[in-house]
Amino acid sequence: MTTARRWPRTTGLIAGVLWLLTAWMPALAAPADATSDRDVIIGVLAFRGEENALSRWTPTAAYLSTRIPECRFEVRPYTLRGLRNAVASGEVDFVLTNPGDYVELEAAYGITRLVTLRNLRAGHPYTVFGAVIITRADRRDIRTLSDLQGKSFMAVSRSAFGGFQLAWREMKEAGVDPFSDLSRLVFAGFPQDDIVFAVRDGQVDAGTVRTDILERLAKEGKIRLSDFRVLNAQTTLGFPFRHSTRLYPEWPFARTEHTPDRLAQRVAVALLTMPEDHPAAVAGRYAGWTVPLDYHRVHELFQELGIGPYHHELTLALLWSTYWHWLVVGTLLMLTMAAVTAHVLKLNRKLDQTNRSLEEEFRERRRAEAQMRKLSTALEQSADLVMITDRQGVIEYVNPAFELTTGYSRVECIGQKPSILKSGQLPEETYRHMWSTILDGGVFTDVFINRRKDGSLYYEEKSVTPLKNEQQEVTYFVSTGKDITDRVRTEERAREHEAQIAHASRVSTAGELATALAHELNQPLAAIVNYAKGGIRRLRSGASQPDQLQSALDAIAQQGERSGEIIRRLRRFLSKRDLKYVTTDINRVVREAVQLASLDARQKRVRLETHLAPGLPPVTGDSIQLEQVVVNLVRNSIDALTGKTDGLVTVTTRLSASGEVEVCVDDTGPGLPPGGVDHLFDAFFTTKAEGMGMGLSISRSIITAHGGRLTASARQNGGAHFSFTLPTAPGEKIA
Amino acid sequence: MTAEAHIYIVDDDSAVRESLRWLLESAGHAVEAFDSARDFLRSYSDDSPGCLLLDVRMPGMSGLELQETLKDRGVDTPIIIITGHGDVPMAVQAMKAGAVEFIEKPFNDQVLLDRIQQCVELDRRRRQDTAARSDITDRSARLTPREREVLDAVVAGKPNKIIADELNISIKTVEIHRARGMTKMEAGSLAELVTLWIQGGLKSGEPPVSP
Repeated sequence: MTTARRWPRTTGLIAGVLWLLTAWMPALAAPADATSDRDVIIGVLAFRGEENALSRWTPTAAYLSTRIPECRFEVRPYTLRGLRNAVASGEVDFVLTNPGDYVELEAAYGITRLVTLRNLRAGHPYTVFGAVIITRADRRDIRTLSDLQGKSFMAVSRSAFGGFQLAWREMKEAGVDPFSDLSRLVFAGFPQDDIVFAVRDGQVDAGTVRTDILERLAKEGKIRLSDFRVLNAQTTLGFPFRHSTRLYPEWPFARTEHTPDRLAQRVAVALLTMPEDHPAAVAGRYAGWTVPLDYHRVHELFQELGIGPYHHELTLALLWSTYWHWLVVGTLLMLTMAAVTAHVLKLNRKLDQTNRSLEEEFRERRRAEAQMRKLSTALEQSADLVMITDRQGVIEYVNPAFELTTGYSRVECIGQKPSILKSGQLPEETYRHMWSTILDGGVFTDVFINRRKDGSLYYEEKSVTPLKNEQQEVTYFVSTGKDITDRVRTEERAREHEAQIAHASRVSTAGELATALAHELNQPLAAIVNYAKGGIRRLRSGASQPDQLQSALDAIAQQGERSGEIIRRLRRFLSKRDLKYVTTDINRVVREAVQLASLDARQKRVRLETHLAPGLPPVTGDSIQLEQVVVNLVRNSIDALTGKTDGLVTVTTRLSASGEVEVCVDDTGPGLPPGGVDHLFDAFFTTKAEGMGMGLSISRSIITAHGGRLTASARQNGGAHFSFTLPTAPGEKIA
Repeated sequence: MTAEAHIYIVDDDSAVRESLRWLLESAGHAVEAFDSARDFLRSYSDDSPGCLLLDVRMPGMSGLELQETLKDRGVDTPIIIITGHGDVPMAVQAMKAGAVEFIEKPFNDQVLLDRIQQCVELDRRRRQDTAARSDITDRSARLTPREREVLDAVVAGKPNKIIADELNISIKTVEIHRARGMTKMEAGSLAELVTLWIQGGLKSGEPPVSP
């Protein structure tokens, strides 16, 4: 409250000082009243020659003479340098020049723009213009501004605004400094038409001219537009001419410092009210005048290029001479403010002291209240399920999210125990473990399968945190959880889906193995028949000896088992059952897989070797899916070797350096398909005539689901190397 | 000539190999079994009649390749190719390359034993023919050129008078050469002489060719 009273006083004081200053300011300006009835000189930049300038602007001067009869207006054409001198010496009263020159003269001699030209180009008035950078259309080597590096270039002059500086700015931004990066920079002066011709005739590689010159020359039949290429071509809505640069305001009509205010005013009015189609406008190829445009963009250009008014070196003396009055004012202001502030501070100090302690207390209480409100709102609005129980597990609070998910209202819950949610889907062990953890003061986190009031189940990812009082005794338990039922279901569906695909792929593999399988079953069957028939013959001929017959019968039994084993292995491989992630011996998996794949190896006359590291730690996984991966990899390698003599596939198991179990399948085939490594594991990618191209893709998703990685690489001596890793199972060793 | 027949089995599947041995031995054959074509080639000699049982599909040198190798070595012991399911195209190839028989697994033992018997008989007969031919060749080598000329003409069915005219010698001389020639060839009659000529592959006017 005291602070509020303090400020108006200060503000009032500052306002006072400012008022003083503002009142004082006009004295800084130097008004000069001039007499009427005199010759008024309009200095005009003659960029297309003196005659051209005279014929163009004399009618405008005549118009002004008519509108302001006390004065005789006269046009004087100048070059850039000439105009500067004329302004410096006070020779001219008004200046009509290009924006660049204007900005320079404005900075140097304080001329001020009154109106901006509405220039007539191709029959339409435009208040902006730019420059176009051109090269011959057949110069394939020059397509962008940066291509100008090392080329010859023609422009009007260093100080020509439309005839050079606009292009300079764009070139500089493109990284080409016209003064150091070009092979030759030619300043050809006015008229700009010559630059266009020089480019066309190949005297220079490129050049720049003001916008509309190209179009005008083409209209006059002097050039063909198709002979030129416009570099850095721009498009601007409502501006029809080819241009390579930003657009800048048209020529301003400016007064000089010594031009009388009244005269300037009357000239401005006369020009602004000139009809579009006035003979003077027609002669000057323009459509009257408009309110002065912002020449800021021109300033920017000069700033960027470090030319024009920004060319000066900054010195302290220069700063002082330019800004001394502002420095004086600033210092005064600061001193005043300091005095005022000191005064006010003194007045307030006492009040502040008395108030401070009260305020502090008040603030503290407000903060605590806000904090409480924030916390309880957070609990109430949280999307997570929150439940608070006492030390005995009796529910004292549940939040709306809890009510919504479980179907139990707060009233129904309070006084109950969380066991109302028990689904019986979790082992009692889990609950025991939870209680022992939280009673010990630890945080327990797990996924719970709970039952809603309506009997349906939901999954909750839950943390139970004990709250302690100052004596470090557990007094409450806070349970926070997320209903992850949807996520779990989605994951289950995805897993089911993947298992289905994996199964389909195994069926397909078994189909491809059918021929080899029939052959493999034939072997023991043929052996059995041979033993049996031989035995019968011996019995008939009476040449039989019991011990011989017994060994034949043993062999028969053995071969029967062998056939049974082949069928068992196949049935197992084809079985369609839920995924079972259990502790698994990888070597056993590999042996089963190699047995299956060996059918193929024998059929295709490829040698198959295994090197299994003994004593590997167990992995957690689904043995059939892992077997499927090994079968896929081995068959993939066998296929790569088909038709090759002495083909060898080696399956190795080992413990990797990072402590993971690794299974490698190496072959002596042609290696990986060129550029195929990236797509090797994509579904339907195959280099084989037969097969769906699903094997490697499915293998990779199986291994990924097991928390491992499946990779492929080319072997140094040719052939391919596939390997996958699996994290080892925590805990027990395999029996 | 009277050497005991040998059956050679080449199969990389030990169960099939050993059961075949058991079966063939039950039928009274002498059996030698090998688990690869290479091993077989190392110890094989074609001294005694017999036949080969080859599994068409083996790692290393296949049944077909072994067949080729034996052919190159001039061994024409009959070959029975054992094929598995679906190997028919290979079997056809084997037959074209000169295998005598092919038999599909699992096979009827009687069929197999009959085939083996036939092959052994064939081999025996071939060996006898070869032996007979070399005997006739030996005998014909003892003929003088004139005796040979005369006998060639006799076998061609020419009467002594024509032979005498053609050779520009007397009929008497023709008869002497003919009688000596018949004795050297151990032929008791003209019919026997003609048989010998055909069996021994002797052609008129050519020197004897050794097999």
